[in-house]
Amino acid sequence: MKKTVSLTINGAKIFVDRGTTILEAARQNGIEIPTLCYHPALKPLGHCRVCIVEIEGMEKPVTSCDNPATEGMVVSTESELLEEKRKQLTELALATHPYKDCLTCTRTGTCELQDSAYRYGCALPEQLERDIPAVKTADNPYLSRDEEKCIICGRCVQVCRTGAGRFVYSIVGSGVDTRVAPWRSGREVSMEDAGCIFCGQCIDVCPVAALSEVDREKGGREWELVTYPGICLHCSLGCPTSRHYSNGRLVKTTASASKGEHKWLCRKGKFGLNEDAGEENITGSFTVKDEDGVNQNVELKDALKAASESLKLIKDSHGAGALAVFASGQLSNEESYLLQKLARNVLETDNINFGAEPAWVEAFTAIRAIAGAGINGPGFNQLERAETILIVGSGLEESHPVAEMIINRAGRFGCARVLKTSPPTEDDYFWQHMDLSIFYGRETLLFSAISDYLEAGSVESGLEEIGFTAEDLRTISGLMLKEKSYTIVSPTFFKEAGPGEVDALVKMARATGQVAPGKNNILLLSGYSNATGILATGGTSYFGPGYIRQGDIDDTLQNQVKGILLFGSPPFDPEKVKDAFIVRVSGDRKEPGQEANINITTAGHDQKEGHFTNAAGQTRLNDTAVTNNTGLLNDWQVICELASSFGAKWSYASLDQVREEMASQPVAD
Amino acid sequence: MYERHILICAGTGCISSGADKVQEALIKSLQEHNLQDKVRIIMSGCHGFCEKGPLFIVFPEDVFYCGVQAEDVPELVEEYLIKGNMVERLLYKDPVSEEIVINHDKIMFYSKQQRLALRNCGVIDPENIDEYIIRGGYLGLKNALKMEPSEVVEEIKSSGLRGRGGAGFPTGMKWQFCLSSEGAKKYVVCNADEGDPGAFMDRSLLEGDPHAVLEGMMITGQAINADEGYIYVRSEYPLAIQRLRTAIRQAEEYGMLGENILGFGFNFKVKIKEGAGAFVCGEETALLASIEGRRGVPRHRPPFPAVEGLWNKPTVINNVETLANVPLILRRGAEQFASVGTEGSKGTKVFALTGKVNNTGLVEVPMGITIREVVFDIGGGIRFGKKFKAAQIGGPSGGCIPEEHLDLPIDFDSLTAAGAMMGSGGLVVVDEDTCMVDLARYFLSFTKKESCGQCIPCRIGTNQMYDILEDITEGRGKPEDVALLEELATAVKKGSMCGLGQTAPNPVLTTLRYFRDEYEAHVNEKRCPALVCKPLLQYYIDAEKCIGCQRCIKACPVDAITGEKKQPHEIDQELCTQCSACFDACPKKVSAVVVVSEGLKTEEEVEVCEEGCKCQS
Ligand SMILES: Cc1cc2nc3c(=O)[nH]c(=O)nc-3n(C[C@H](O)[C@H](O)[C@H](O)COP(=O)(O)O)c2cc1C
Ligand code: SF4
Ligand code: SF4
Ligand code: SF4
Ligand code: FES
Repeated sequence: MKKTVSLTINGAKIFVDRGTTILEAARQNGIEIPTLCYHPALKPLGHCRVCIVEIEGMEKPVTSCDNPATEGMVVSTESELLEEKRKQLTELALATHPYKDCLTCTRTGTCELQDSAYRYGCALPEQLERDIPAVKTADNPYLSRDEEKCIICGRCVQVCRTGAGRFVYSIVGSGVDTRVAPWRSGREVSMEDAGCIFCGQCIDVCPVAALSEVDREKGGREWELVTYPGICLHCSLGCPTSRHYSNGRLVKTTASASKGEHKWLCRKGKFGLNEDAGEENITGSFTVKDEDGVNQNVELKDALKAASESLKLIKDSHGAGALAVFASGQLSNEESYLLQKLARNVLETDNINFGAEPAWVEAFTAIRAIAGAGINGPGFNQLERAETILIVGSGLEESHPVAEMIINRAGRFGCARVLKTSPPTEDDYFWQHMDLSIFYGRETLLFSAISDYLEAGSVESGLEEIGFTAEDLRTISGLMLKEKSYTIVSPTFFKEAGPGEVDALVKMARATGQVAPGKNNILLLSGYSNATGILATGGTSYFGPGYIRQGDIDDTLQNQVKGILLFGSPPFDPEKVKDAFIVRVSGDRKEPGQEANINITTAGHDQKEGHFTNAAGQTRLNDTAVTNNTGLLNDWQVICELASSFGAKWSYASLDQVREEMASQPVAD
Repeated sequence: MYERHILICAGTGCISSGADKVQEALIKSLQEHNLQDKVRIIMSGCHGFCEKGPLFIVFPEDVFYCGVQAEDVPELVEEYLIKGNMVERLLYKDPVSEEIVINHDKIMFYSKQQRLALRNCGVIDPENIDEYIIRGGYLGLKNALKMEPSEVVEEIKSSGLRGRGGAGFPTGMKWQFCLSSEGAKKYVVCNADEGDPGAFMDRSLLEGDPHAVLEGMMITGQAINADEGYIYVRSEYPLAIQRLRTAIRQAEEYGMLGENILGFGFNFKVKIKEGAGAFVCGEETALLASIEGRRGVPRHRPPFPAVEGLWNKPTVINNVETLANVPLILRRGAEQFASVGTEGSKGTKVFALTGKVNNTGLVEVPMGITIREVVFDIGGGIRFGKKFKAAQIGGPSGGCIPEEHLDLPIDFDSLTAAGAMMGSGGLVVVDEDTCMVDLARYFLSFTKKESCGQCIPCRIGTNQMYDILEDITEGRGKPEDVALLEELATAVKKGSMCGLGQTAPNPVLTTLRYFRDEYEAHVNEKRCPALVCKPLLQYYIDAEKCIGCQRCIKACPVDAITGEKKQPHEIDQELCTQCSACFDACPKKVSAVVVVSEGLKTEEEVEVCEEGCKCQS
């Protein structure tokens, strides 16, 4: 069978893959066909009929978004008739759209219906009487719906199913009273009750203002918004985002639609506007505790001086081993590199951890050792086409929601058998293939049983008494052996796991062939956003930059530490370091608390430029979104300042110089 | 040995007019006269003549009693069965000649019909598989099982059978597509949704001859290599569902359904899916979605169900009547089937004949019969001697065919060419008292509500059309509305995604085509020629005829009528709301209230009084 078809569009001969729609064929060749309901990331539904084209030999125009291009087709996308029909269709749509609101509508300027009305110079028809709610509803703090504006394009319904893996919306009612509403078991319910996870993807695809962010109103006209590419730092998936600013204020975040990458966000990425608003009046940015334990405001240089003097004093009297550097997992690769350099070369301590669970580090390095350097865990494109997905641990819907969406999609719409060791949740039964919750918290039993069976053929797992039969074992092992079988390990596993658990996991990975030289089908999800980047740049006590082995893990470490340099808010136990002297560097603009002796505030995430590496090994740049007018230094600059206050001779004029130095570091095999 | 068989129609129509009580009374009466061993009662499926039900036909002499009630039964038993005297008042009287017709097959209603699909309906006991088998049942299946799938498809192709569900797609071709689709699993789906509120041929078939449909499905299964079938039947058809269940059970017991059917190694199982869906659920892709448990709305085609159908597997979906024809073709051969009908449409079609004709009911006629024959011969002409105006054919989305086309031979293509369609097989006859604009409005009020709301032209366009029609019938129509209506109707017809939107404008387009003058009278002269559109009517009292009885005064809800007793009354045109209460109240013998539609005064005609206002006084 021929793989490509040739057709003529507007007189030009065009070759496209079989199965390409006429619309895609045209667009691939730079020919625009107007649309209202089509969205490139979604299955075409054919609701609006605006994308009609004329085809030779057909008595009436046909929709181009959902009809495949066929061999020899002769298509024309522009004609007086088509123009008139598209205008007519837009006018029809306007008959149920409150165009009187256009003046005050947030989507004015980017509304696809408005665009179409403008393009065709539509007359404004009388509004049809309809029986649908005329008021906006926001039954949640994230998303508000204005049903009057909905044009029933069906995109939200579609994206919720295929993007979020949920079934929140239904098209309900009939005739002119048709509407889109959150629906469960035959009745209208709140968004939450309909299973919404507030990922906001439906907002991003809505062509009109029927769906919007709750606080979007009056936040700035769409055409005033300035958009910066960014990376969501809420979890170790590091989804690319577009950040939209109005007058230096972040108004909304949307999923970035860059090609080849997954295009969705979760609630945290979409609505977690943790990025500083940049407008707070900052006082008390630099404090030093006086003898009575009261924070005193000082200048930056005094704070830096106080910090270096105090830490030096500790080093002199207790040795470098009494110093430690801890950072949150949201350091960029560049910051992590500089910070470890500060620790190792200036403070001369290996007591560093910038956010990575020990068990995760162990698993990561063990698998890296088998698969080889640069062989990364599976990306979303691969997971979506999976045959088997084993999920170890729980809580992905909280910690890594986009991963859960992908699994949902693979399970519901793809051909993946999903196995899960955590107790099933309400929505799972749709797609979960096998309930493995008997192994929850004791996954090692499962790992070992699979390894033993695959390596030694032993079905005697001794697990019958907990309800796991030899048949079950055979089934699971069979599924795990598939070419496209993947394991996803959640942070909850790493939080609890010790060396024994990690060994069992790695052994299973090897036995099933999920990990082999040159192959890595395991996605290890740390609870720390840039764990992968930090590990690679030397931000743990085990490895220097390039995974070059340094020390061993010393659990007793925190007990002996007398001086701590703290970056951001890493989790650590203040009880264990009660008497330690703490220098805290943070982009958090809130009034500093009592736990640190010295506080240094930095410019924060908005101004942060740097690379981040996600769990699948993809490294992306987070660009500065707004010009730094806070008068504060960026994190990396503070690290350099600290180094020089210790007397080190660092001379980085820009981050590029840091990057050059990083690139010249050796990398271990 | 039984001496007589009495067929009592147990179709839904006859049951609701009391057939089950007739049965009880008959059993009782037969026992009283100790005849229970001599006379056998058969509760049959629908005979199509529901209007005259309950029907009570005595064989072997074929005496046709109609409108029989339980209290008539003792008389029938004593007078007719025992003494042999005709009970004349219960015999059928021809509405035209007013002559009594004794025999069932001499009645015009039946004699012009050709009952192929309905061959067993009203003849056999549908709950007894033996009766079906005796009349040649399952022979078609046996023949099919001896053939290769492609041979079965060929047979259907050469029979010329076209789908009876509306669009008239060649059935053989559909099967061919599905047979050539790749896939180990395929499905056969029987569309028994019958969403047109006026149609009931599918229900009657399922109630009266369920095995024919099952056999048709199995033959389809053999033809396309499917081993599973679904019957999607509306839940409002409980009797049909019950009869189907019984039929499936009996067929399984007889080895006609299940594994290794008739020993040919062919497996087939049938499931029933009850649907409570809207009209649009009858559309094939919507129906499949509904079976899958999703909201029953159409989706874009291609892919066609024959390639990607139920659960994405190749699926043939056929209508009940289509499937009921299939066993006949396989039993008697394609040639015989093709000998009935026209060039492009073979066989027969069942219509639900209703409206202003004397005989209404279910009629099966050969393709090519003229509308005139259906209306005047089978239907017995227009009631009360009124004048025929149009036949609305094809259900809510059908078109109206006017008098000048009465001799149009009915088949798929001629109907489409005339702007109507075979559709659900609804055939509504309207007479001179019907306003065609109002009729179009009425049908659109149905389709606009039934639009699934997905696509813009259908969801919004039908509503805009409706609003215009409402304006016109309520006297607010503007001259330019007619052209606007036509434009919208064309946009909806050409632009909608599925058949619903594509056909919903038919009533409007055909009335515009054949009865444009009526539209123009409404908008230009504010006149409703058929005297239907209330706001365009005026009520007067003929002073000559009025006897001054004051009944109309009492009846008028807005006190628009004045007059002394025994003096002619008068209606105040300003107050009158055209409710017709006076017309109804005026004694028929007097008939002093007259209705006219003389046209509302237009702007220019309104006299301007001294004050300069336009108070119309
Ligand atoms: C709005 C709409 C309603 C329909 N309703 C029915 C129905 O009630 N019964 C039916 O058999 N076909 C119905 N159809 C036609 C089906 O889509 C389909 O063409 C038919 O079931 C195919 O069977 P056939 O080829 O045997 O006619 C409907 C189509 C449309 C567009
Ligand atoms: S926010 Fe996400 S989960 Fe909620 S309705 Fe929209 S797409 Fe679905
Ligand atoms: S809410 Fe928006 S995305 Fe959803 S159907 Fe309506 S217009 Fe389309
Ligand atoms: S034509 Fe009407 S019924 Fe058909 S898909 Fe469109 S809106 Fe739905
Ligand atoms: S874009 Fe094709 S129908 Fe809307």
